[in-house]
Amino acid sequence: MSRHAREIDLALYAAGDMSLWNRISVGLHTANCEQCKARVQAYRTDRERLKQDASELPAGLNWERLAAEMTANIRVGLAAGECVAPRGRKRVVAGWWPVAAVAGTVMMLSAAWWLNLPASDTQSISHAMRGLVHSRTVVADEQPVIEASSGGIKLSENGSELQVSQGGGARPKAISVSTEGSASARYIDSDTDQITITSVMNVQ
Amino acid sequence: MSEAPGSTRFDAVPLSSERETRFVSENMRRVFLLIYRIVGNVADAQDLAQEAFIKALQRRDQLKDLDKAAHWLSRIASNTAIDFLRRSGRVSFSDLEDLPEPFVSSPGESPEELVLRSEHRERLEAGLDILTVRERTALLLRDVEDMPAEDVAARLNCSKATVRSHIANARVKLRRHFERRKA
Repeated sequence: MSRHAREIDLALYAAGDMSLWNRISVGLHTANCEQCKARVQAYRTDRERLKQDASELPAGLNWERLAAEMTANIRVGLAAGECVAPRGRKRVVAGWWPVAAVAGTVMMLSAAWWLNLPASDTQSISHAMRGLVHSRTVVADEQPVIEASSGGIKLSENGSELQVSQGGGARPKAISVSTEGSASARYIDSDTDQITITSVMNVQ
Repeated sequence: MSEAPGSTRFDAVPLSSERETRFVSENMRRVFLLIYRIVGNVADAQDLAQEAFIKALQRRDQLKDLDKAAHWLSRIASNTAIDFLRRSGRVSFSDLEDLPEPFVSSPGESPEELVLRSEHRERLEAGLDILTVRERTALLLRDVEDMPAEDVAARLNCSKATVRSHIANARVKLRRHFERRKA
């Protein structure tokens, strides 16, 4: 091997701090160059030593005492911080603006959702909501009632009445009421024996 | 971690949970050493390590996962140290022999062990002393903290290529320093 790798390349290669291409290039070189391989090994050893030596405390340091002093100072620092902190914290948590902000966001999102709905959906939802609002009135509405009696036939709905009266001495011969909303009565005049048929139907 | 008698007057202000106490005791040495290696003196390292822990503990919600919290604490610690160096624009490696309390000799070590440890420390401190602040910080974050080069670049507010250059220069300088000492 006529040329050796650069020293900084070997230093970086030792801990894998190179780009892939350079790593391959230096790796191929060191595989065939004993001198460079030894340099890489020396850098790796330095790295291990550095890690080991850096975990050593400074000479003559009484760590137990220093650690106790530091722990105490940290406690004091935290206590001092607690004394100062509450005002700032309360200001952030308390107040009406978070509620207003949330309400505003909800309204904005609801409006955006409503505007993005297809027209048919909005109409059906409106109809359903109107139905909900007026539901008490609808329930209170009277259904049409058809009554047949000796006096005639009467249709009642929402307080209005339609009555077909059979006057004179006619007496009902037969009265029939169907479940589909109609009633009819057959009357026979006692003087003339004429038959009158009266029908009332509710057509919707 | 045992408390020294001199610190008992602070015991009335406890850390608010066992988890926090554990978090502090498990990470204190590591954080102190990381900062110490960056700033180079014990007094500043002590102040900055305390500052880093207070910053971390003021955001207690981050302590749910202690492993992640330890990683996050390293970030705070290195940022605190780097900010300090930026603000002060200085680096001082004090002569540890001259510092008074709390330095005492380590008990329970043989004279040979003491000499060996002392040699290693002296070699490391002398080696780190020849590096620029950025080279030293980049090297410590990459090789001691095992931080990826991208993260180191983000921490030092520079490009990945620049960080690689700092790391490479630092390793080469250290290697030459060790070779000179060996010779």
